[in-house]
Amino acid sequence: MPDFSTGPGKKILDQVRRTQQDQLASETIDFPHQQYLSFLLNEDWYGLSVYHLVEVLPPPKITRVPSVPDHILGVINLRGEVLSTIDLKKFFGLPQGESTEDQAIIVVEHSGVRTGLLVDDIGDLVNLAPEDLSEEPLLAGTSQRVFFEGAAPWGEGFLTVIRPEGIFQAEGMYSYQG
Amino acid sequence: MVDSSEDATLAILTFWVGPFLLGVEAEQIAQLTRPSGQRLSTHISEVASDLKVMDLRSACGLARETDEEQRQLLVVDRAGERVGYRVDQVGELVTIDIAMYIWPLPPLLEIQKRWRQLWGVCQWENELVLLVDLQYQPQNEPKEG
Repeated sequence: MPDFSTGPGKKILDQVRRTQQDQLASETIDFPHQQYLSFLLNEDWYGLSVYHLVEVLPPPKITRVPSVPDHILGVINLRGEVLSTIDLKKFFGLPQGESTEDQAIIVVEHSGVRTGLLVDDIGDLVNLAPEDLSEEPLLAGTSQRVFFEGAAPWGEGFLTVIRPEGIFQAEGMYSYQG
Repeated sequence: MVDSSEDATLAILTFWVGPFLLGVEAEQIAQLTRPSGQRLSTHISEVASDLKVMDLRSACGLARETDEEQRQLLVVDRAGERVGYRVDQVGELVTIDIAMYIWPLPPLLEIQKRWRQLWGVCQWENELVLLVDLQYQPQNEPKEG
C-alpha cells in the first residue's frame, strides 16, 4: 500500500496545494496551462484537473451499501465525513483487473459533495494547455463523451482527461443538481 | 432514545442483512424474536395474524434466504400498524454519540429512489453501520410474508 504521508503522494499533494493557491491568486492573470493529476486505469493514463482534487488516500475499508449501482463500491469515513466511493473502471465499463498495492482513492469535490474515485495507481502532475486536448476523447463512445474533456498526447500514449461533473451528473448517480 | 444532556447519545440495535451491517434506533423496536429456544418476546407464529411482515433482504436487493428458521424478526409499531422486518442476524445494542459518530448518507439517487428508510451512517468501533428508520412508511410498499 503506498504511503501518502511521506512518499510521492505527499509530494504531489504539496505541489497541488501550491498550484491551487497560485491559481486562486492569479485570477486576473493569463494562465495558459491547467494542471492535472494523472492516474492509471488498467494500462491507460487518465487526468483529473487539480481544481476538483481534495486529496489522495490509500484505499480504506469500504462499507457496502445496498440498492446502489455496481460501480458504487460503498461509503468511507474520511475524518468524520461519509463519502461514497466509485470504482472508475466499473463506471466506464472497463475490464476489471486484480487489485494491486498501488490502488488509491482520489477524493474529488463537486457542488459541495465529495466523492472517492478508486483508481489503479497515481502518477505525476501534468501541465496541459487547452489546445493540447483533442475534441474527440479517444476512449469515449458517443454516450460517454460527457465524461471526458479530451485527450492529449503524453509519453508514448495519451492522457485522457475526465470531467468529474459529467460523472456526478450521470443518470442514477447523485440527487443534487450539480 | 436521544438524551437531553450535552452528551446526547442514541441507542442503536445493529443487525445483518446479507453482507450489510445495518442499525435501527432501539426505541423503535417493539418486539424481537430469536431463533428457536431463545425468543425474547413473541414468536412469529403467535403474532402472524395481525402482523405485516417485510423481508429486508428484498429491500437490499438480495435473494431470499432458504433457511428462514434461522432468521429473526424485528417488530415495530408503524403509525398504529404492527410491522415485522425479517433480518438475517441481530447484532448488538450499542450506544452512539450523536455529535461525533453519526452522519448523513451521501445524496445517492438510487438509495433515495429504492430505499428511503436508509437515512444515515454511524461509526461503531471499526465498522460503519447503515442506519434505517423502520417506522418510516415508503409509498407503494410491497407486502410480503
